[in-house]
Amino acid sequence: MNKKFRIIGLGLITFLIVIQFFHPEKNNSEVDAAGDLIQVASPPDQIAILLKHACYDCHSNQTVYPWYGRVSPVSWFMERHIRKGRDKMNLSEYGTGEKSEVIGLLVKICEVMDDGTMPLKSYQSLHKESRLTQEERSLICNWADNEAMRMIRNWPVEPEE
Amino acid sequence: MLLKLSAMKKQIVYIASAGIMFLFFQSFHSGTLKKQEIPDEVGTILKTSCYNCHSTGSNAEKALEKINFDHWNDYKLIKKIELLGDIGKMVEDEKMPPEKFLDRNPDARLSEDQANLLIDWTKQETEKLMQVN
Repeated sequence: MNKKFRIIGLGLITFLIVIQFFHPEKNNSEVDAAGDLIQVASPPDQIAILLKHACYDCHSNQTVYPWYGRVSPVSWFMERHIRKGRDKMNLSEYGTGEKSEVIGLLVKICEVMDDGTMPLKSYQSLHKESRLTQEERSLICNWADNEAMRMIRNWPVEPEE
Repeated sequence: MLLKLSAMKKQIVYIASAGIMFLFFQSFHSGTLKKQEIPDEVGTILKTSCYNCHSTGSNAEKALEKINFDHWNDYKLIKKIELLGDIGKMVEDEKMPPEKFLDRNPDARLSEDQANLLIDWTKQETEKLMQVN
């Protein structure tokens, strides 16, 4: 019995060590000044920091990994999670979308701030800097709405890329 | 005489301002009407393929939360632009109407022409809304 446990334990440890050699590629490319929301729309610093803390890990190409994020199998789970988030909305590609798409994105930012669906509860429980107060939520929401309106007002005066 | 003239002047000012107001409201009115106009063809497609879930009276809560065509005129300008983009994308990716719904309602399936018509409409409408400054 004792021996059986030891074999299972040893097997498990070996398995955990071996999987450490298999990592998904890091979601950590250079900031694209023409695509990144903070670069393109240049929100006030306070909002930029909130967005970085609450959204950018899953909704941009620049994830800031916690230490356990580089440990398999957590890293695999995380990678899938990030991919899903980026598919929905990628703030690193903000500037590359059509203007109407960007407006749609801003509207969605405001909505998820307002109804509290984002950041995900599970993410918040692990990242306390991502927890937003009601004031911070309204701040982001209002900024996004105003930015969307600004884009319409400037349409089509601003040169198209 | 002097009094009379100033009364007349006043009258002219009244009439002129009433005229200006009238013109202002007229343009405002026709402007909103124009915005609300949905071409018949598009309206028919929406009714047969989308209204089942996306209009008042539907039980599909999730669908209604996303978009309720009966409330179209109540949506804010930027919300309309967002929804038009989503409609176009959903139709283009054939995510809407959903396959499950089509199994039960084969008439709601969009032909290629209908899908294109809808997509074009969302683009034109977006363009139109973007011009409203």
